[in-house]
Amino acid sequence: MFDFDKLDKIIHEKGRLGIMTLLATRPSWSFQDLKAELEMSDGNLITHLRTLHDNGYVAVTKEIRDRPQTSYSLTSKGRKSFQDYLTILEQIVKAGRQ
Amino acid sequence: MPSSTEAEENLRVIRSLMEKATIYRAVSAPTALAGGVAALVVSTLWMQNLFLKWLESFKWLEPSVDSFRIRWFLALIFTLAVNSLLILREARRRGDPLISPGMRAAMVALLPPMLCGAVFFLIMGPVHTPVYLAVFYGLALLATGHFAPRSIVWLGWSFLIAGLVGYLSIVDGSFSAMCTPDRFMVLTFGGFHFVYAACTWPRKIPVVVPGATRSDV
Repeated sequence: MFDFDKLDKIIHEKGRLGIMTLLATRPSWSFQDLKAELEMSDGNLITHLRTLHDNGYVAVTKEIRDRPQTSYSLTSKGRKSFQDYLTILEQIVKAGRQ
Repeated sequence: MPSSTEAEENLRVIRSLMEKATIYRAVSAPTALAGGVAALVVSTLWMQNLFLKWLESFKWLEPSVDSFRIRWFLALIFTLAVNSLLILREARRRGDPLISPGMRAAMVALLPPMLCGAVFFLIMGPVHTPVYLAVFYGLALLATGHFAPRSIVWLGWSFLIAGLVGYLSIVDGSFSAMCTPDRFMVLTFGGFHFVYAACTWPRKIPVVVPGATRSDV
């Protein structure tokens, strides 16, 4: 039986949930691609990414190719937290159906 | 604790975002445009006999059969080259490997029908080749349907139906009266790709985020 109070409050926010979901689909995402896919403003996206980074969920890589590019990826802690979050959501849905 | 409805809604959002992020477009709009242009150029050169004159300089070729294969093979090579350059540029822009998981999945799906198309392209005469090519190309596009955008599925069905109609008209003898193999190629590989490119060409639409202010940017 899951303790539903363990639902991760950092991930359980619409914007951050979107970011975590996209980061779970590929090894890394550039800032511009995340912005385009989620249709967020730069400010919103930066704020959410900073929160996720400060909590150790997201790793940031800055490199210069043709121009400076920042890319983001899930850390192992972030990936595990996201999987746990999904598991708890599924448990909630199951509990609601019973 | 969120309600069951809220949890379901979150799971739905996650699923839809994941599906959207893993969509792979096997034929991009610029590639389709390149394919359409190649088909048009090849058929124009052929109609003006320029291509045939060039091929006649190769004494070992049998022009009536081989010229069809060679000119459309060149069109394919041109289109594939454009496609490879576009994929390489996009991979560099994203910082992804050239052979991404999406591309790998597309290759696996495309390979069986494309292999059949290549074999039929080599063994069939010019009358039958275009309809087989259209059928197998259509099947190849439809094989990517579970991770491709809807436009690719429509393109696949268009080729498949055109190929089957072409084949039936060959069987009942009306094909040569209505169409030549080259016209069929221009109509399908040229025309369909032009329409696809026009419908899917990326357009820059200004996105207005509700509640976003200039200070957010």
